[in-house]
Amino acid sequence: MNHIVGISEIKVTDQEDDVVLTYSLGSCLGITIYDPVARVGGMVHCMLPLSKIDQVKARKKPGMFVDTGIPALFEAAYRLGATKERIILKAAGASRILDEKGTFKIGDRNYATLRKILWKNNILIASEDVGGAVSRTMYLEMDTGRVIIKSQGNNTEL
Amino acid sequence: MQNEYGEVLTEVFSDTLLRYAFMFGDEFPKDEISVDDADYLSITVGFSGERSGTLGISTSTDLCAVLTSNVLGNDPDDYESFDDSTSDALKELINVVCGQFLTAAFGEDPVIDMSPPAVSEIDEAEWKSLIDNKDTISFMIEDVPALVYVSAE
Amino acid sequence: MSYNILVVDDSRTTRAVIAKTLKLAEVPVNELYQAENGAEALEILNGNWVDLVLADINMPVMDGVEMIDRMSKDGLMKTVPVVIVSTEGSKTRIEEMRSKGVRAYVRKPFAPEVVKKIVGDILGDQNAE
Repeated sequence: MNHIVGISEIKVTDQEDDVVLTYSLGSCLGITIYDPVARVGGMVHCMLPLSKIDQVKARKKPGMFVDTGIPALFEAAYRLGATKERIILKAAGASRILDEKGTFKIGDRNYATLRKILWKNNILIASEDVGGAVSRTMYLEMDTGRVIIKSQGNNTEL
Repeated sequence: MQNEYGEVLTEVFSDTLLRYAFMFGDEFPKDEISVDDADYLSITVGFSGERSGTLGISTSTDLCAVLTSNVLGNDPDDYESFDDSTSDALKELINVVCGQFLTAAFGEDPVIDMSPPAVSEIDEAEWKSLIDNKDTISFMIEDVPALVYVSAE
Repeated sequence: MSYNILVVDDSRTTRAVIAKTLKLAEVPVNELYQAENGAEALEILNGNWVDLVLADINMPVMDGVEMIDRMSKDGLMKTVPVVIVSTEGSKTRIEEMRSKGVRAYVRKPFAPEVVKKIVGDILGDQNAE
């Protein structure tokens, strides 16, 4: 079954025949996690870096912000039996695309916030496809744990 | 109006701050920067060789603890007092900014040596004079003002 | 198999960042030596078995260029692989370093995954030899 993760949404699953996907990663950041032993995986599509700009929204939709979305994604996966030590994390998006403020900064800041959180929590990125000025679609195939990026007509496995 | 390297320095500083310390630095109007009862310091790096000059930052010691905790990936509360260990992260930031600036401004061909960063405390009067200096670029980094500058020949 | 690694940088922050990176990368470190400059590094290399050196270029007392020169003139030290971790961006200087046998170059600011890959490749090569 396909699960589409919309902007600011989080999805985790332990169903082997699921595919979790998100479209139109521009300056937004898509993050997938996958535990190959527990066979649990998930994805978040984050729009903005820091939740301090709107903590009410962050409580309702933690996936909107990188700094609340990543912990929420991990916690949801832990509830299905994933463990931090086994989790494989991949990232896509964070493009330098003109944002609402008329700057090109949001993508870089989303990515930097991801880096900050992972560094603080002793997690490395297994693979990534970030930056540039393109839009990306990200797929997580639960039967294999593979992450595929579609961009400009090309498919790449992360 | 900054000297000819102002734009390059602004871009390099913001980018390096983001990549090295995961912090957001935005240019900030100088007339909104306060001169209050804070402890200020300056850190400069000299460079010489095919090009020579100095690059520096002046800021409040308040920046040092949060910068250090970000770079090392631990808690800001671990760094309550300002000392050598907390200024080291800021020294290294300027060291990295300088290296990145040199290639951004002059390309990858010139061989340019850099001196180790030098720290000095500055008083309110010096801080104010740096604000007034047309060649300094002012940033706000998580509510802490910082002035960055470069002179080169 | 675990390794003795020497980190050479005048910034204690950078030495700590590299130490943390090696831990995250799960490099089996037996002994992690640290030096603030090339002279201290040579002293450590003189008295200890070291499998890998990660060194900056711009340092007081003795910089990375001179340290590598001296290493290249010592029968044992010249066999120790060196990775430069520096803010230096001059192609000329990087070429100079490579011609002296430097195995890899990492530019600051660096992502930990870059160091993980390079260290893994070099130590893996050593295992194969």
